[in-house]
Amino acid sequence: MADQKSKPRRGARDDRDDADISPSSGPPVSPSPRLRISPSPHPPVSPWALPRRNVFLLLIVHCLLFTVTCRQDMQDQPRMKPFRSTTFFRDGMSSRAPVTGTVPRGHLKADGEFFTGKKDTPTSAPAAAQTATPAGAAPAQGIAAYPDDVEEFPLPITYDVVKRGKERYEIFCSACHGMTGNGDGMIVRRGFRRAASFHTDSLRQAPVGHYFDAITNGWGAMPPYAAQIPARDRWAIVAYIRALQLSHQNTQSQAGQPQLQTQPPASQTATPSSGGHNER
Amino acid sequence: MPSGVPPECVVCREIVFVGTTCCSAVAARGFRILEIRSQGLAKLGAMPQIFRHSTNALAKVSIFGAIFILLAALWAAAELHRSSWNTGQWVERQQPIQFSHKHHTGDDGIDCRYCHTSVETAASAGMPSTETCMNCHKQIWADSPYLEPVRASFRTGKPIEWIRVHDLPDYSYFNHSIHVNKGVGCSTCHGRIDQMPIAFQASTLQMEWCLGCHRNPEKFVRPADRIFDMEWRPENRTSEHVAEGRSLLSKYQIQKSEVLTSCSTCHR
Repeated sequence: MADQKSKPRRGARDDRDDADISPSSGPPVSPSPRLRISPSPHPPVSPWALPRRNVFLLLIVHCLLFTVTCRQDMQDQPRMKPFRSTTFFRDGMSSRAPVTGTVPRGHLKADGEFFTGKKDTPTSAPAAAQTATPAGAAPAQGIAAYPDDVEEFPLPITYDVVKRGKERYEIFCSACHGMTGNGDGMIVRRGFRRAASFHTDSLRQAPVGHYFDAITNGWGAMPPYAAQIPARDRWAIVAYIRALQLSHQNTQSQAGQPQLQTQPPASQTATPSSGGHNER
Repeated sequence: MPSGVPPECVVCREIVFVGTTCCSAVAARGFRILEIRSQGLAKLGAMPQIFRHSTNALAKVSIFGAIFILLAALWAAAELHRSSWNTGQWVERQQPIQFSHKHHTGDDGIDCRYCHTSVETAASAGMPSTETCMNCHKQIWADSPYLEPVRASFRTGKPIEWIRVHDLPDYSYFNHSIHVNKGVGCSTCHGRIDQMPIAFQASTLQMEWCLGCHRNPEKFVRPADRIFDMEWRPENRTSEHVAEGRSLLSKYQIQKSEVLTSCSTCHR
């Protein structure tokens, strides 16, 4: 009976179905020299071997489930999102510019005064404004210096428009012109050429169209902002600049200042070392 | 056949066990298989005990251990799924130019919308064109080799290829303007970007995170003039703040959370 004990246990090992055992240890009755032991279909299964193996399989399947996230087909679909690059177009950009000579719906700039700040019919020949040096040193003063610029807002100015103008001014203009319009914004303090103060006589008398034109097309060192600010917001900013100018005048007259300062104080940072490098 | 001898095939003389066949000759004759099977059964019945009685306790413990291991594996997988390794949260992205939001926004006080102009009107917040960079950098740091890629882009007209920091999956729909116009501030999702020298993703951007606000918007909305305020509280925690948030919900006409958490709100 000693050999009976060993045989079922050997059969429990699934991978050893062709184990050769030496004849001396086996029973002496086998006439064939090759003693083959077939696997038993009913090995003595231990009560916990099966669950543990299942758990192991479950773990593997579970890990495989998480590798599913390695496939990014749905995450990165072959379509264009804003600012996504592409290999389809030669310039690598997926965003395309409108075809030359076409106008997108709702972008027809039919109202010339509204979109340019210039009068539809020029009132004078090219004046001093074209050659005037910026930053408030124009020889001609007031409306005469900007004869082609519109003098009245082409849209009704309400409180909401001025409020909107304040917001937009503080986003786009205050960096250089300062929160109060003195021309001492943070970028100027960092070394940019000193921006114009709105509280000078020449700019107080300048028509609103001049401000609009300056925002739209740039003026001197100031870059054009047409791409960043829509036309209606540009007019709102102009309205707020007018409000700033009025408020500045009021405080000065209330304080009993007889003469307006043409140059606001503290201009020592106006011409720093790197300020003169004007590439454009 | 004596009892101490293992059953063997009558034809090929090989040792076999119950239910198995050794050669085709046996399979062809059914009665021999029956003979072998009966012998095998007799042998199995005489099999002695292999496991002791204490093995039962071991088996129970191992089953419990298996459940514990499974739960632990589930937990570990969930944590791994939420980790920054998977979501990219907190990972600083190196850009072609090391643009510092901390410097431009935090130190210089430039408004978010100076560069991200379309954040209030479009789905995309908008990336600034090179011209926008050159607004200032044509004079400031104009000679710096650090900014040569910007100048090169300005000269050639080829855009700077920034690395996208917040990359939502394409199956999710997101619109900046609706969030900005209805009381969700920049810092709610983007964190203190004004303190980041190198931008990183401050949120997980996982659906769980989106739903956190879509289920309880009153905990995150803020007044309309505080949207771009980086120092505004990130979450309405106290009861009066939540009450303020509730009043803002009606002011902004924010839909019920059943609508906000509907599948098609974000998956269109």
